[in-house]
Order: sequence, then structure tokens, then C-alpha cells
Amino acid sequence: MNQNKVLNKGILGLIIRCVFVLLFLVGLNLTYVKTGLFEKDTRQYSRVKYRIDSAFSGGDIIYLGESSNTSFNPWTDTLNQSIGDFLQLYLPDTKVEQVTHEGYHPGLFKKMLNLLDDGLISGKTIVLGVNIRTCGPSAMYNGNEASNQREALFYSRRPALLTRAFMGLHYYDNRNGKEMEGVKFKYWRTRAFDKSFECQYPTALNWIDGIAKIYGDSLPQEIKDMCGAYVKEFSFVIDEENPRVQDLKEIVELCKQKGVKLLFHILPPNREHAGMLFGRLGKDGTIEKGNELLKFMDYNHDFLVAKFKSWKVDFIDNYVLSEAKSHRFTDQWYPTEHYDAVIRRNIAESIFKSVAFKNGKDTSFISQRRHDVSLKLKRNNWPNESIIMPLSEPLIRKWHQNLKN
Amino acid sequence: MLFNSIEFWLFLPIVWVVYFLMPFKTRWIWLLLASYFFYGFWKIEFAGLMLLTSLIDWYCAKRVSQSEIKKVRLFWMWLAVGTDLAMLFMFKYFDFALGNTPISSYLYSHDATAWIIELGKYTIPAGISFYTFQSISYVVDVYRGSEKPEPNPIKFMLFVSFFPQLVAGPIERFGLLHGQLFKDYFPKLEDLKNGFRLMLFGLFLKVGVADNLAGIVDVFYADSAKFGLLDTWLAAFSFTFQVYYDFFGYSLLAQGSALLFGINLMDNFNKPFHAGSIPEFWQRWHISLSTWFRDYIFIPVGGNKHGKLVLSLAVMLVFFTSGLWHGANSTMIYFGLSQGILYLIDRFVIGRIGSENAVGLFLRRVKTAVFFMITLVFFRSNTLDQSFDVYQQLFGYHEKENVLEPGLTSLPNLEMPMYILVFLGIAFVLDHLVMKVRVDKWMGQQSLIFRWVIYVGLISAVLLKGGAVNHPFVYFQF
Repeated sequence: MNQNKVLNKGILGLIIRCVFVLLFLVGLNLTYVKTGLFEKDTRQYSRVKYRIDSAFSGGDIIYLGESSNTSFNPWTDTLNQSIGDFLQLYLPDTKVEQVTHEGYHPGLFKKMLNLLDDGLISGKTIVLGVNIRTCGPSAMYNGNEASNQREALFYSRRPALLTRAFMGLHYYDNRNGKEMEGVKFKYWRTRAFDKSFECQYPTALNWIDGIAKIYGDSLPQEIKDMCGAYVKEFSFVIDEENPRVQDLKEIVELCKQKGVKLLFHILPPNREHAGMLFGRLGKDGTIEKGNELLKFMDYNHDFLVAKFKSWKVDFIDNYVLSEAKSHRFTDQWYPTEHYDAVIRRNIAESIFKSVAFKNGKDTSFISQRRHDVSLKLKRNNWPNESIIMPLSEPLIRKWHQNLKN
Repeated sequence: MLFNSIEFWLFLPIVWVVYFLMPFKTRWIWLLLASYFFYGFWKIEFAGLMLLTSLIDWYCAKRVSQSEIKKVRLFWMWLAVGTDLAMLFMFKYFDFALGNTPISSYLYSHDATAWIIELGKYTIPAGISFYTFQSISYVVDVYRGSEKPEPNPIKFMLFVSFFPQLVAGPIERFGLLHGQLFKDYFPKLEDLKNGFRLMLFGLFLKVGVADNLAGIVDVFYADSAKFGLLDTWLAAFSFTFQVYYDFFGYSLLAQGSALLFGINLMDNFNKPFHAGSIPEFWQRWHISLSTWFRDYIFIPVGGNKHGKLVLSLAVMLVFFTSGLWHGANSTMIYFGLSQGILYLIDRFVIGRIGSENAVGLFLRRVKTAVFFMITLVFFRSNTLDQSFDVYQQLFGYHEKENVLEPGLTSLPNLEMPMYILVFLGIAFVLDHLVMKVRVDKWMGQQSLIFRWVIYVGLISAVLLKGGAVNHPFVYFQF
């Protein structure tokens, strides 16, 4: 009898404590939101989330982009407008808003779009840059992904306190840079190329080793590093199971559901450099063995285009953009989609044409002229004095010349 | 699985409930499965490695106990110790030892061996140093005759893998832990309360204090040359308390979760900043490791019974090993050696200076804390060069680089937000000045209302102000 009483008292005490803790948590959540602390945290830890609402409530066209949108070439650029800025100049009577974040990919944009109220985004146009490299191992296992995932915690409708607690307890893909490096290297070491590519090397790392062996000391270290970087960044094959492809597909479905006009545009990679390094033709006019990198790039591009067509989504194909010359890429020794003003403007122009065509707007003021702004190499590094990025092309050409000799 | 992860807070109650629902005789098997799941959650290969260590050590200890011949016993003991150290070397130090030599490239270019390099380069099996040392102590204790060998290899596996203390200690002795794992125990409300109190305070120290301090330290060490004198001292100060509350927090979480199963783990810290000298400091800091080194290295090589020279050599050997144990890089070796030198200076020179009154004691404590804080620069620096630069900065011999980032009009400064200072102050005052007994007992002595005020305060701090950047426990990498 006494034991039962003690037990009942104990259970009652436990229930009272649990109810108290629950009420306390509800109150804490309310306080967290009402005092503006959650908003402050959102601004501090997820600046893009803070930006999305204003972009969608104020804009007719929303440009969603990663660093390619705002890249700036300190050697050649006199204009520092982003792709979105240029687009706004083409469309003065339409409000173009931009949401840009370095290293963002469709998986994160999908979470972002999922959060927005249908009323807020219905009828708007979203322009989403598609970077082919985003489907590759280097981007998928990026060392900065943890911080991106942390920001994405805020793209949610869960109670604010829970979001903050998840951040403090790191409840997201929080693999650090070193772990991601490990995953990438394992991918490059073990992922065998499809035989249909007829690549003489089985994996990316074998390929890099092969280059070093074939050319030996004739290959300058800078070019060797560059070749390695291009192999790592582009020698992958996109397939149906690729997470980014799944994300893109979900974005298409989401936009259809929410009544949003979606426009993908494929960003141009540095094909010229890839061609110089790997695309040399053999005597019979076909690409020499060991130089198949462009095959991978083209295959991945074609795959995405086929997917976009099958999903019946509008897209602009800037994969081969005539203005995308190698010297117009900001990063000369490493493949990125960071462009100078000429490429950025041309991308914006192509988007404008597509949007204008859809809306029956006049595009005749755009002539067919193309400005090939002469390259003025100058020490125009301001404001970042630490950037020193000489062109890589002279060294590649010199290497080619040495090979011929 | 980390103690400060959501996964762990789901895992623990499930393990606990099932544990006590099971018949007494089979509970330990459940605990073993849970421990291997806990460890394999990172990488299943790690669990395989631990299994191998356990089985080898169990077998060797058994052979040690079966023989009366000293040479045979020695052989089996050294076989176990050698295998353990070889595995530790392979998975923790191999990459460091090889560097970028042709052997490294050769191994990396062959599929059969590339994974070893990959593992060493990018991941070290979590807590390998902890469970290896724990397992070694068992074999040596059996050799010495101070412990009887465990006849059941699977039961021994639980001693090595018990999840609360598996990846970052405390490094328990067989005699203290093994018996507790198999004793008949019915959950007591007092143990549950104390367990949760330990865990709550531990979580506050880790998430509320250490992780927030880590944010400041990271900013500094990402580009230390850009900061001036005061910032350098602030970073050194912050890292001292980051590493302390990170590890102390972990230890309390380990003790708390073990207590839920009725198991008492040893205290790993005892107010280290009350130490008046470096020798005393190491009796209060990471006690389970310090006593391990004392019992298995310091005393066997001579200890303090054979004069100052032997003592000095033994101390330097212990601290060199300790440095190496902390990490496979030269900065950690310097950290260990610098501790050894300061230990000897304190023991033979400074330790005798100063009066015994309160002021003298206070000054000695400050001196010890500053000594320790300064040597931690080696511990945290990314490279040896960086640590030497930071030392120059600490003593004002280094001009900060006069480079302005785009858009900035002044050089960066470190900032410690007020709430971090408050959290640190609360933690330190409670830990070093208020609590005369362990935190769980101390909380139990408080009135109901005050106790709940503390609970509410700690929960709020963890939920609302946990450090945003992910920092695994500092000692996990060891």
C-alpha cells in the first residue's frame, strides 16, 4: 500500500515536471519569436533567408544564383554589375530581384522555394542558373556545404526554438572540410568511368597520374595542377540518380504547383581551357586518347538538356557562349564559372531575350553586334590587392609549342 | 554519434528503456550491441578495428595468465601492447610519419593500400587513443597480477566499448569499470536525477560555453597574423577555456549517461585552475590520462625514486608521449614537451618561491594558468610556424599585417559578445568557486525553486545560445 503511494507520488511528480518543462518550452519559443531574437538570429546566420521574403514580395523576376552571378574580374572588369543587375538594365519596367549565395545549389534553392507562400510567389518568374559542375563530386562534397546546410535550417516552418536548437546541436549535414575532402578523394580514386567514354584511364586519379607520366618534366607544374583540377571537376557522368538532377526535377514540380514561371539557364563552363588542355585532335580528326574531357562535359550538358526537355521546362542554353573566351574567366588556373562583365552581360542578354519573347516584348534594340573588348592587362586589382591572376593561356600555348618541337 | 547531437538524445532513451526491460542476465549484451552501434554510427570499419583490438588483447591477457614463466608472460603482454600501438600508429600516425614521401604516393596509387592513406589523411578512427590505452591497461594489469583475466571475450568487448566513455574517456581501469557493467542494478530515482544534472551541466559547458568560445578562436587562428597584441591574448584566453569546458563538458556527459545505467565513472577534472603548479595542474586535468601515464610509463621507467635526472627524463618521456598521444603533428609534440619543461621548472625552481598565504597561493594559481594558457598555443595552431608567430604576437614582437580586405576600413578585431562572457563567468564561478562537491550533488543540495531556476537557465542557454559553428569535441580527434 505504502509502496503504491510512493510510486503514485513519484509518477505524479514526474508528470508535473514534464508538463512544466513542456509549458516552459512553449513559453520560451514564444518569447524567442516575440522579442525579435529569432529574427536577429535569422539575419545573423541565414542572411539569404532574410533576403528571400523581400526579394519575392518586391520582384517580378527573381534571379537565383551562386557566385557566378556576382563574380568580378579584377584584371579586366570596369563594370561590376551582376548578371541580375544587367538583366534589370535590359528590363527597366520590370523589377528584377536577386538572391545570390556562394556555393548554393538546386538542393538549397529547393528548400528555399518550398518555404515560400504560394500567394507570394504565384505568377512570378524565377531564373535559376544551372552550373553543370554542381552535379559533380567537387561541388557535392564541398567543404562549405556544412555552413550552407546550417543556413538552410532556417528555411523551415518548424517552431523557431527548434530551428535554433538544431543549429546549436548541429542537426544537419555537418561534415567538415576534411571529411568532405576524404569523400571526394575516394570518389576520384574509385569511381570508374563508363566504358562508353572510351577513356584510357579507369578513374580520375589514374587519369591525373597518367598525365604526369606521359608528359613528365615537359609539363610545367602550373599546367599539371590545372589539368588535375579540370579532370577532378569535369570527369564525372550525370545520371538519373544524381541528387542535383533530382533537386532540379523537384524544383520544376514545385514551381508548377505554386504557379511560378521557371526558367533555367545553363552556365557556360570554360570549354576553351578544357579544350586546350584535353581536347587536342588526333591525325584522324578525332579526339586523342587521354584527351576525352570535353566528351564528359558535352555528355553532361546533353543529359541536362534532354532532362529539361522531358520535364517541359523553359531553359536557356548558354553552354557554348561565343563570348565565353578563356581570358574572360576570372579564375585562370582553376575551373570556375566566374565571369567578367562581358560574359555576365551576355548571359543577362540571353535571359532578357527569353523573358521578352515569352511576354511579347520588343527585343529589336539588341543588335547582333558583339563587343570584343580588347583585353587591357593592367594592375587593376583594386580593391583586393592580394589577387594576382595572370592569364594561363600563354603558358598553355608555350607548352603546346614545346610539345610540337 | 556525438553527445551534443540530436541522434544521441534519441539513442540514449531507447537504449535505456530497452536495457531495463530486458532480463538482468542479458542486459549487458544489449549494452554491447548499443555500444557498437554508437561507435559504428561514424563508420562501420571503426567498429571492426575496435573489435580486433579487443579480441587480441583479451587473448593475449588470457595467455599471460595461463603461464607461470616470466618470459612467456612478457611475450604475450608485449604482443598485445605492440599490436595495439601498431594499430594506433597505422591509423593515427602513419600519414604524419610518411608525409609526402614516395612511399605514401606508392601506397595511395594502389587500390589495396590506398584506403589506409585515405583514412589517415582524412579520418582518424574516433577515440582510438582512448580505447587503446584502456585496453592496454587491462593487459598490463593482468601481467602484473593486479587483475584477473575476464574469461568471456564478449564481456571483455563491453569493457572496451562501453559507449558513454568510449570515444573520449575517462580512460577507466578494468577493476573499477568491469564489475559495474555486470552487477544487478535496479534504476534509482537519485541516479536518474544526478545523471540528468550531470548531462545538463555538461551540455551547457560544451554547447553554451565551449562552442561559443570556439567561434572566437576560429576567427583568430584562421588568419592570426592580422590581429594585434590584445586580440592574441584574448584568443589564447578563449582557447584555454574552450578546451577545458569542451572536455570537462564531455566528461560530465559521459558520467551522466553512465549513471543512468547505475555505473559510476571516475572524475576527469578537479578544478584545474586551482592548481598552484604545473605538477599539481596535471593531477587535476584529464585525471584518467595523467594517472594512466603515471602508472604505465612514469613509474616503470624510474619515477621519482632514482634522483633528479631520472625523474626529469621520466617526466619528459611522459610529456613527449602525452603530446604525441594528443595528435599526430609537430605542434602537439611541442605542446607536450613545453608542458614537460614547465613541469620541471615548476617542480625544481619556481615551485619553492612565494609565500604560503592567500595572496601567494593566488599568484601561484595565476602563474600556473598563464603557463598552461601559453603552451596551448601549440595545441591550437594549425602549423608550427603559426604557433611561433602567435608567440611573437603574444609578447608584442610582431606587427600585425597591414592589409585591408576589400570594403574594410580598419583591421579586424576579435569580439567577445556579452552573453559568452556571462556564460563563461557562470561556468567558472560555479565550477571553481561555488561548488565544493560535484555538480549533481551540489544541485541536489539546493532548494526546489533555485534548482529549477538553474535547470531553466541552463536549458535556455543551450537552446537559445548554443554555438552556431559545428565543433566536434576537441578530444574526439585523439
